[in-house]
Amino acid sequence: MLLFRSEEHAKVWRERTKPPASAVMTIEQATALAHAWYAKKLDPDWQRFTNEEAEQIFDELALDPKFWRLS
Amino acid sequence: MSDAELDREVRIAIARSIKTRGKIPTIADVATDLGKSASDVDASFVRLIEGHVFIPRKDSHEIYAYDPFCVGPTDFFVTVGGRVWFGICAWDALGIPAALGEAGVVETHCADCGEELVVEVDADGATDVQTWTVMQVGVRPPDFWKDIYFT
Repeated sequence: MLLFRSEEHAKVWRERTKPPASAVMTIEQATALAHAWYAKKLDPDWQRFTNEEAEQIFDELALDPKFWRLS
Repeated sequence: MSDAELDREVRIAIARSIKTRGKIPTIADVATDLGKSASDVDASFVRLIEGHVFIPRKDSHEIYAYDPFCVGPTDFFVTVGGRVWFGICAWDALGIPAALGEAGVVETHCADCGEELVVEVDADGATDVQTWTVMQVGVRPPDFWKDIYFT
């Protein structure tokens, strides 16, 4: 996962490197995703998200289900 | 103590080291902290690796990334509470302030042009600067762990 100064820069990079898949999100979505994903990582009772829990996070952030669906 | 109980104690020891020492611990560190043998902790690390709890170094069971924290160095510097951390990728770098429960600053470069990017992140995961910046994900989530070093 990489950061770009704009969507246009991400597009140029994709055309140059041809990654196996591609999804772009705003920095607001990215920081919200990172917070949801890692806020409890250091808690004693932390557990990995189930696929359903992870997909709920992706859906709440309005991420494209075609890319983010786990099942 | 069962394997599951030891694994929980090991996770807690890793988290404590990160929070209080600012250091991703080694197997020897955790063994010392818990008063356990290195072989017992090594076996626990193997189970945690198999459970995708952390990413090992390529040549050992030692931690490379207890996501979102990476031993580094990487191109993602994160400053939180005066300490500098490394993230293995943008997602992890942005998650370090969240994991520590504090605001932080992520510094990296545009992967296309190399221009420096600085993102300030609140403790609650909000950001109101660099609103033009985007994050690109190049692997679909079901494939993240097929080659986690590439991901």
